[in-house]
Amino acid sequence: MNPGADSVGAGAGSGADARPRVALFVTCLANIYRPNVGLAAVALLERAGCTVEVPLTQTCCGQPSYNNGDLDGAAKTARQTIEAFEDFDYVVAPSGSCGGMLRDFPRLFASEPGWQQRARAMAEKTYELISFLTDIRGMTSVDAAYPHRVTYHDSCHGLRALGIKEQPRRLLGTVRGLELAELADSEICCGFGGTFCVKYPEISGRMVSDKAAAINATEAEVLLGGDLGCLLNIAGRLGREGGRVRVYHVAEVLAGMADVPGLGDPRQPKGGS
Amino acid sequence: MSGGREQVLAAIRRSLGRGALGADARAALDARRGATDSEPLLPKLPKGTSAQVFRDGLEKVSGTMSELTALDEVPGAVAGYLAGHGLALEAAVAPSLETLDWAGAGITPSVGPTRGGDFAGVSHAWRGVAESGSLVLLSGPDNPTSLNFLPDHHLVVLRAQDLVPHLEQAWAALREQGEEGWPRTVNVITGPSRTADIELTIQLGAHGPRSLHVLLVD
Amino acid sequence: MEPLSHAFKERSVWALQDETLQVALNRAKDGFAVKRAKAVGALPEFESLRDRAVDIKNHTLENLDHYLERYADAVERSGGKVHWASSAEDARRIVVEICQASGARMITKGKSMVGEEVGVNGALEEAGFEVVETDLGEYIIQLAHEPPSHIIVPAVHKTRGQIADLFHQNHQKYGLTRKLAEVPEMVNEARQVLRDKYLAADVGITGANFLIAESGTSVIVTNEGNGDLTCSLPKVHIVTAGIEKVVPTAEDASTLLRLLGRSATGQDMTTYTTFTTGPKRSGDTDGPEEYHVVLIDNGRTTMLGDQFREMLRCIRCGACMNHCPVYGAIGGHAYGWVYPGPMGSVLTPLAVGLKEAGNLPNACTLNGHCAEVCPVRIPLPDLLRTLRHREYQLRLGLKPMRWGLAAWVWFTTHPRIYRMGTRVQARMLALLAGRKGRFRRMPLAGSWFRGGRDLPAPQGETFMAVWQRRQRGKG
Ligand code: SF4
Repeated sequence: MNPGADSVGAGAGSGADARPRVALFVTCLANIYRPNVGLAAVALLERAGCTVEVPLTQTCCGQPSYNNGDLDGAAKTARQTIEAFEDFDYVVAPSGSCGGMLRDFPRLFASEPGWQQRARAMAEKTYELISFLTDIRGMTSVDAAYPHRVTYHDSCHGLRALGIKEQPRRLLGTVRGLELAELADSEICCGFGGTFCVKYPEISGRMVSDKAAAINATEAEVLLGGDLGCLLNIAGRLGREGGRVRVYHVAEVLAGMADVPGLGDPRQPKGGS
Repeated sequence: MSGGREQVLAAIRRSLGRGALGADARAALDARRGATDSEPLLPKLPKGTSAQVFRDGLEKVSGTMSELTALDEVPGAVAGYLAGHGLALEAAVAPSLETLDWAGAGITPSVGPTRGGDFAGVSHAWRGVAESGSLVLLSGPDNPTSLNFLPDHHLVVLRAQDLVPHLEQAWAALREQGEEGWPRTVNVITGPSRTADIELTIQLGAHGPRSLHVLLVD
Repeated sequence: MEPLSHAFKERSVWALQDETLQVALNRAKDGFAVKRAKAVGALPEFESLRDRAVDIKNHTLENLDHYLERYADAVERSGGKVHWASSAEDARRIVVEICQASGARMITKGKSMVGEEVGVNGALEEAGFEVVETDLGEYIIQLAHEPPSHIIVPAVHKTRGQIADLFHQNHQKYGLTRKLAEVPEMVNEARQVLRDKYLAADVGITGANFLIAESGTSVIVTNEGNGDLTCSLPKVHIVTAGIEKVVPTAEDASTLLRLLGRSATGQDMTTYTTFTTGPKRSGDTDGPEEYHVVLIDNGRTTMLGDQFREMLRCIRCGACMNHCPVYGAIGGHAYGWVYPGPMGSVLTPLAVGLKEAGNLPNACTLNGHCAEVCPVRIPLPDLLRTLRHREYQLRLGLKPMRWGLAAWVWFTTHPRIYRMGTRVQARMLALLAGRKGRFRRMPLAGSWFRGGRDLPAPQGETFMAVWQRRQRGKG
């Protein structure tokens, strides 16, 4: 291991892509709930040899509208996003769900060829953070230590729409001291589902309590995942049960920035980690 | 009732955004080898002789099999099976097997269809499918369908030369029989009857036979 | 049957509280998924077979009129009769008329989802026939006067104790008075009772998994053998089938069969796959004297012409519900009609209207597991989203939801205000949560907490605020 530098493989450093300009789509939830995830994303992208920029006019990916039937509303929000992001080499989001939505933009403009083309062009260079690091930037390891037993929840959109499964595990495997205990049913939905969780709270509650039970069964100290929506839901349940499992976004651990309280933890950090 | 036919067909065409197909288009569809107009996609079979692959498939679904060297051995094998299961030496036998020497093996056969009083039924399979350990039985005067379902024990005579790798070869052979076309019933049978309808517990012999035994004749 | 889908919310809450049901659902949860995964894993060609299946279905649907005509002509050539039903009502009437014309009294039925869809049983009973379901699961729910809760395992919601009670109540009249406890003896008792029905029945009605155009053959797939006894013992055999069941050849059906068993129950091949063509032939010593096929449209041609055509590829394997976490939590009855789970959430609103069944397409997290396992690659989440769009256009959803969405769109298209607003929100929530770092309750957000969870508090600053400060510091 080469201390102080994350190892970046063949994918990086070639030709015009030597130092790509990457726009971070920070996502509503990271913006409001957890700026630390955004900062961790920036740190990882910079270590992967990217110049990171954050377009100030970014807002939401439009999923609330898209998934609730308001396609015109989703298209309006999408135009805003396309204008803010289309000029960069890549668009990266620390969320498979929002990243997946950006990739779905062309569908919103079936009757507007001009916009559809712009949407497609942007969609083609849009990635979820971790898979961007491994698959596009060729990152094979990180320089971080996290001496804890962790488990990992595969958020559905990242898993099924973007094929994110082993990329985070590959990088987590290079974190010093980290022990990964696989979660039974890690591919089963946690019950978040955007507005689903407030439209059908009882069903959602059952799903997340099943998830919490599976997490507890791993005897992990920490739950990681790649989507804050799911993580808020799960952390909320674990907190309600009074459990001791802490919850972080995987980027925070990979960037060595999980030294703040986890989601829903009391303000003072627990213990001394 | 033909009003119904035209009504449904017209609704289909409206939804497809076209009128009835012309004679040429229909002829072209008829000339296709199935929907995709290509060779069927046949799964590769495990290594081994067809008899072995067939046996593995059959045993996977709780069927059993004995291998005989000639058709004459069938009555004796049936008698052995019945005795082994503590059953009387009686069986409902398909007319196609009537000429075998049942009496010589001590069996009283009742030849023809059954109405449910028989503990064992013996019929013959037209083909066996190695891929899944399935039997293909054709209905007809010489092989009544009721024998396949009403007795508790179903014994089936299959000739080794009638083993095919996949179901598709059976269809090709059936098509070659031409004019006559399909019999009333083609039963593809893969193991004895089973149900998992109570607490998902698998239980053999739901309505059909509790056990299925194949007599493979070389 | 009268749909109860409008009451989905209440019914789902009951289901969650019904402890017996939860025991049954938990039992089912893993079983199916594990068995399917094992069977699929053992067949390297599975993915290519899925592609094939999609092509087969798409091609047939594009030429549906042609293949149905070929099929119908072949049936008639083999001595059978084809009846065409545009609506559920037509289908019921046709079936009743056939039974009346044959002078029947007792009718046995194999499992037929389309039969449930159009309400065949009710119509026959109303016309004075005795109707007996022969699939063990269907028989159990018939005794319980309930609709199926699963399309493959209709009584999956029942425990052995409940079934024992049902048998005890209903089998006394056959002199079977002992209360049973074990599964094998229950299966045996049902076998004994139903055996007499098979032998006494005048008409047997089955569904069809596939219809083969080239030969006029209908295919049914069962594990129990009940379908075979139903279609071979009575003197009249009626097949009820949706018009989308047709495929051109036996080879096409074979491709689909390789997917069906594995997707449904993890079997390479279901025990009995039975191909019936016409009535018994001259010389045959058993088999029915009359053979009727009722081809049912009942909304399918509408689907063929709109965004829901892909749903007509469905082969009713049940994999989508076996992998649906919502179905896994509440079971099939909460959906309030014949088809539950993801496929039901698409089909039910199309059949009974979005006003009645608007909850169904919404009660989904869009996690995509169903589409991942659907053997014919139906994009179920997309279809559910399309239904939500339709609902939105028809202004059927809740008003506050509409207002909320409109406000959100406005907010997200005014980035300065968005930045300010989120900044205030993050700060406020963090302050309110205080040291604890999370909320146990909050006014106006009751629904979140009704899910039995706290709400983690934000860190306090928005990312945008931190970033802008950092950039200024650099500059
Ligand atoms: S939608 Fe797909 S998975 Fe669901 S029952 Fe139909 S074919 Fe099976």
